[in-house]
Amino acid sequence: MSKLKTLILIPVLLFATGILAQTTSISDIGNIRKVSSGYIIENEEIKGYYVFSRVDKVAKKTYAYRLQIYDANMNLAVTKSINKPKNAYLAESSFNGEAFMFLFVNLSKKTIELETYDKTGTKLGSKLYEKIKPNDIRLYAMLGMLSEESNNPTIFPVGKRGFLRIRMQMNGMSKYNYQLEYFSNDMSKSESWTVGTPKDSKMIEFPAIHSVSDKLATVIITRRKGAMSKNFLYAMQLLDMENGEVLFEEPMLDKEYNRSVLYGEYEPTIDEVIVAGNYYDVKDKTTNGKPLGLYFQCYDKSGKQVKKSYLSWDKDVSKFLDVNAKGRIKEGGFITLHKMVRTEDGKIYAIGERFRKAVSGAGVAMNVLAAAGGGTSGISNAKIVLEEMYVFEMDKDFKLLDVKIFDKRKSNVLLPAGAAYSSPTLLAYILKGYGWFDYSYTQKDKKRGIFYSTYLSTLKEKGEGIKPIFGVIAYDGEGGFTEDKINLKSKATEMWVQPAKPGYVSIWEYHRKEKNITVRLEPINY
Amino acid sequence: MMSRFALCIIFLIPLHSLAQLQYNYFPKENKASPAHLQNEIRSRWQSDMEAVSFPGKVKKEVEKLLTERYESLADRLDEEEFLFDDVIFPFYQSIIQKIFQANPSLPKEELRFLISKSRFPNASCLGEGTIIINLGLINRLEAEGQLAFAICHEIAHYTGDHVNEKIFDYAHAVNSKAFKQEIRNIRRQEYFQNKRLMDLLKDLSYDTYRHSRFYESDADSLGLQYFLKTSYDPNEAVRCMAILDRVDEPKYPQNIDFEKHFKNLSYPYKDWWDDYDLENDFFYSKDHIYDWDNDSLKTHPLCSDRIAALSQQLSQLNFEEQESGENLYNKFSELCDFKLIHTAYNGGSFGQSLFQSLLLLDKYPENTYLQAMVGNSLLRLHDSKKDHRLGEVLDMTGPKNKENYDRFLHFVRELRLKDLAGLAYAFLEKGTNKAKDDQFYLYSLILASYTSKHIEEGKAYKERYLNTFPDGIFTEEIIETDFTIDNN
Repeated sequence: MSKLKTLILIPVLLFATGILAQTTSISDIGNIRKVSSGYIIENEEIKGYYVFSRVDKVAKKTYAYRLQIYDANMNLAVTKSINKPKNAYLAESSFNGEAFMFLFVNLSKKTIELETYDKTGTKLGSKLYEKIKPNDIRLYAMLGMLSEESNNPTIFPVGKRGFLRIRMQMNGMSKYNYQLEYFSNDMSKSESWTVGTPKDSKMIEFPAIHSVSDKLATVIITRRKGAMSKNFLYAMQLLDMENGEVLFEEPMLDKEYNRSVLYGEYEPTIDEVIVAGNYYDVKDKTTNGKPLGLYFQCYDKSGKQVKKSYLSWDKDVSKFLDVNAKGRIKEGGFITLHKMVRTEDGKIYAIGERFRKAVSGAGVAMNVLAAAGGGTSGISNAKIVLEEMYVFEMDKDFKLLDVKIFDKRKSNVLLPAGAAYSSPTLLAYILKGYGWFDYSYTQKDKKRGIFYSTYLSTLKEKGEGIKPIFGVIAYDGEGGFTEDKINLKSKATEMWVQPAKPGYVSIWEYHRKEKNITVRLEPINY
Repeated sequence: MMSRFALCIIFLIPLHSLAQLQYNYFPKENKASPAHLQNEIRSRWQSDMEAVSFPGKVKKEVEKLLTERYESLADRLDEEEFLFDDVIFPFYQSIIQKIFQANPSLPKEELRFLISKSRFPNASCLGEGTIIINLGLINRLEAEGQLAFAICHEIAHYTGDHVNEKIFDYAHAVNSKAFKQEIRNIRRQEYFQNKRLMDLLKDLSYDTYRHSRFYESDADSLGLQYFLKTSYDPNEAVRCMAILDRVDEPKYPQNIDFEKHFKNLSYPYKDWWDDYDLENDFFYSKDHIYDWDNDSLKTHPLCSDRIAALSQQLSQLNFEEQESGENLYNKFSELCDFKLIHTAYNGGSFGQSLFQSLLLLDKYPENTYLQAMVGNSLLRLHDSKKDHRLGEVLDMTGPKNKENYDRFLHFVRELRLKDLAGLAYAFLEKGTNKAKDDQFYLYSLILASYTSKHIEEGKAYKERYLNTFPDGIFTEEIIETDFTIDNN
């Protein structure tokens, strides 16, 4: 009866009710754990959102799910009822301007299903992958460590004609490989193609797709000999999106240096591929060596290197920051890069965040308690402290022009047991893979020639205590930076943030009592 | 005719000022709601509660709804939602007096009539004696007789006790044995529980709305009988309905020419502010699962059906054609245009105040108040955006908006903080000297100067204001405020 009472909103026309202009309410959310939501991206811009929720049991092991698609302003565009087995979870969605692709995961049935729909919600095609192993699913989480912003996308729009998908598979106990699958919008077999780890490869390979257009894709391949090997070897591939052909592959280990890759994109404005990351002594491994600095390289489509630049910590960056030859900041810790952005005037900005190790009082206490009981807590005695954000400004030839520091309140991250002994590079991978950095995402406002990087943090104000905030560092399009902070204090049962159309952030709040999710779009000031 | 002449006399002075709308508008502070109103509605609620004589749970349900009704109205009074001015409200009261004079059997002592400042063209009867006409409705009608018919229609809802019957029907329905049994049946179902629940809710709602449509037809018919006893032209009833039929279309549907207002100012205009694209990547489906049948949700019968029914009733009568008094009424309607802007601004709907001001500038390009309101609204939007409250004062774009409003929203949302401040200053700064001799205009220009960091200009305008208006409305504020504090 209580459910009915919340449902009955009999419109006895007695009194006016007000609805906030900017809030969208998604009703009938019975159990938040059975809801998945995400954003839909096209050409690096948020075009909308999806909400997938379970609404009814329709047969013995079959449930009716409601798929709602909203536009970038949270106007409801399409609602579809889809029948799926119990425990189906909408893990990811993509939109290419003409069609949607959805990836459904069902852990209990061990299936992954891809489905495509057109803009009216009419189903176009589907493919079912069965007998998926749990470890296959876990591999997807590892992709986050190597992708640009750790948001783990595995589906990428290819122009308006199709999608490129990363598929990971375990091969035996400790070997895994990847496939890149292309599907047209209707998933017809005749137009699909697949490329991936060569059958005779003795290496374990991980792909990270850094950019995809209608014609080309840049893929960073990470290879190692075994699952326990810490020797990661990177290579940059440029793929032809017509047929998956590798137009060129450039290894990142040469006679000069060993290099990790943090960024690899085809820039259509200059018709070149830019690769950037940390560089190490040629004898050092990228996972446990100390980085010597940052490198930037440009290639044409044939793979010919046309430009390169190395910014060493001790000779170049030290002019702007107090940093030693191994990249250690004077105040302690290291800087990891999250994102690179190229602006209209050809300048390049790299966004980073400082982190350092410290003793974790909580971790020590937990371990003492656990030891007293004869066990372990699973938590390390060390923690990571996240400090300021950094923006490195370079000219079009990658000459370092400036380093700007943006303060934010420190935050602590408890590490899993054993992680404390990892190198700074590996620690950064772990933090990124789990999404533990404060850094959230970077977005471009192409129209205004602006970009902004965001992070989640807290703010302590007199008389107001500590409140969660959404921080923004914005390049204003005229050479300067501004900051904005949005208060995220909420009375909702749960609250989370998602990217929104340029100039906005979307704030989602779940209200258990009202059984609804409210979404509001907050403008960002820059 | 006598009463119409008297109307002219009574409103001679304000009508004269209405003629000046071409150049300016002088909003006056709304008077507080009369103190006796809260006591009246409370007293009525108490007597309604004592009169409830249903058994058990039905009684509880009815009492709950009556209490919600009372509390809602009390809140609205507290929040000063209602208009008590020197022009519109007395005009409204004069029409009500005419209706009561023509219908002496109406329960005059039980009724109270209010004007809501809402811009939505609507009217409502709350069922406990309060009848509310929205300013938005007065604004859209074209003759006094049409307003009189709308009032008669709402009075008929009261005398027919329609609202209370709806409450009682609903309370009985949700507490009936059949309904409870249906709930139990649904809970026992293993499959499609949610769908069955929604279907039950729909049936209940559709039934309620069906009764609503019957009551509306009844109110049309009974209301017409009250109306016909007055001296208004009977055809105004049909004309009123015809206006309501098209009331979804905006009164001013033209697109705003942003370049006309904001290009060629001292602040650079960006062409892409106005690059509104009607095409959208998404297809907006009209069908959604669990969707409600729109026709079944209509609270009113189709206007065309209502017009036909009223015309049928009128055709059985003999009456003389009368003057509609349109020209006189139009002045009040025009005044409402300005009051709605003022109300929107005071209510914090700065998006609406800016939108309506820009639209009205097409009609009154020299009106100083409208120009000042454009600048002021831009500044308030700037402040709201700075405080991350823009969504509270400005709607989002979307397919449900009328095109000209959606274009406007798109334009404003393209503006950054410094654009809002810069445009406000540049727009006001280009005004004539005559405009700058207006208090509100000059005050707005002072605010805009400081917000857009034109500090020296702001100081000069401040000095001008204090010299010109030593006892002005904003003098104290201008003296006491350090305008540089929030604008560093």
